[in-house]
Amino acid sequence: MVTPPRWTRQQRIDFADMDYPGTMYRAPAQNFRVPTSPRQIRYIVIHITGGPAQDEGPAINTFRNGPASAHYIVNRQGHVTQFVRDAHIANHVDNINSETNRDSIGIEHVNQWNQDGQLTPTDAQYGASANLVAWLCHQYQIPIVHDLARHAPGIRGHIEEQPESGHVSCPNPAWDWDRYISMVQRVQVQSFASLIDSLAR
Amino acid sequence: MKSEQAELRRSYDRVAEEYARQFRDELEQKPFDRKMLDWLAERVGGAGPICDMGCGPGQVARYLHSRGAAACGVDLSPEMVRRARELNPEIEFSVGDMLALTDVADGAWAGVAAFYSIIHIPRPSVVAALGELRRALRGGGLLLLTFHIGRETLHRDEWWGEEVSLDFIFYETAEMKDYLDAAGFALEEVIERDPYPEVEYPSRRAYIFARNP
Repeated sequence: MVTPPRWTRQQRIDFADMDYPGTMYRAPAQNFRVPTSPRQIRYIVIHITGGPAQDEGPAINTFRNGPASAHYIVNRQGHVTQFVRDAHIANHVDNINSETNRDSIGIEHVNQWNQDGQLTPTDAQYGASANLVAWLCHQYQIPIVHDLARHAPGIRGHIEEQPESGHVSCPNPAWDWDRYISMVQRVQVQSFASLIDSLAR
Repeated sequence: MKSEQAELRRSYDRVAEEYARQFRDELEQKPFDRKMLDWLAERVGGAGPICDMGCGPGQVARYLHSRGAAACGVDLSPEMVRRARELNPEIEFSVGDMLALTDVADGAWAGVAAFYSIIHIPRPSVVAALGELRRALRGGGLLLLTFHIGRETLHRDEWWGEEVSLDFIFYETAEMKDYLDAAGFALEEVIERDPYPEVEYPSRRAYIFARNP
């Protein structure tokens, strides 16, 4: 007797119910806000989970129960899960009504950085995140630069966007910004989109 | 034919032209896949025909043919079969449903190359599909089965501007080994590889050789 595996994430995702075509999973977040008028996405905020988990399970539970949420999470195998639609506002920095959340997309990465262990992202994770961010930058006309200034168009870490949060390990000690930005710049979004069409092979 | 198979046929009929353009030469960029097909052709030898199951525009059949195998191809989509014939007039292609190969006699083939065709068979029907392939294989016949590794199912309702309804179903390798076992196959080799960057969808892939004992 063959038993199919049990599902921990949404089993079937519909490309019509997500934004980034490289998404492999779709999971709901409890806390997000639908803007009253279409929002202008101006920058991307990079986060790491920080805790000991090696997969996205705890983050899925956290986002399911709120109040924190993010648009995407990239796990250590390079799989991308979308939680909040790009057009909606997630609560990944300060609070759901903040200017930062209003104008940004938040991306979590499963990566431990605490007193018990320090990891750096895997190659698959950097690659998948670079594909995702290149696509987002293309889609929303965001410059591919690591601009540390708060609210500036570009890409930056949580600690850079919100220094008063004290989240000094999100993500900077774990994150190789030079490598990452050059990876994002090298992604050819058009050819990446054609990879999605090659799902059949 | 089940309604989901009818939908699969309708969807592939709609994208057949663009699909043929995109994939007819895909093996040029996939040396590992060529090597697996070399191995299949070598091991089947002159024992009989090798069927490219879910052949699309027939690129796998064409490669097998170029390696000296007696290749043929079967696809659910008549539009796809039409293109396979146009592109490879020296090879015989026919329309057929992997779940019920009504025009294929027991033991008709000595080998089957099922490249990313099981990805459209839903979990509850996989053992039946594999059983049907085993019926079409003669005793000692060899199956080469390939698929995306995972647990997810991706659904598309638009592809190259056409309205489609397609599920792309990923399988765990251990899970597929169980299904092959349940269908009566004897496993020979189970190989996994990472995707070719810039060439194909970024999923890990499995290539399984299994024999009809």
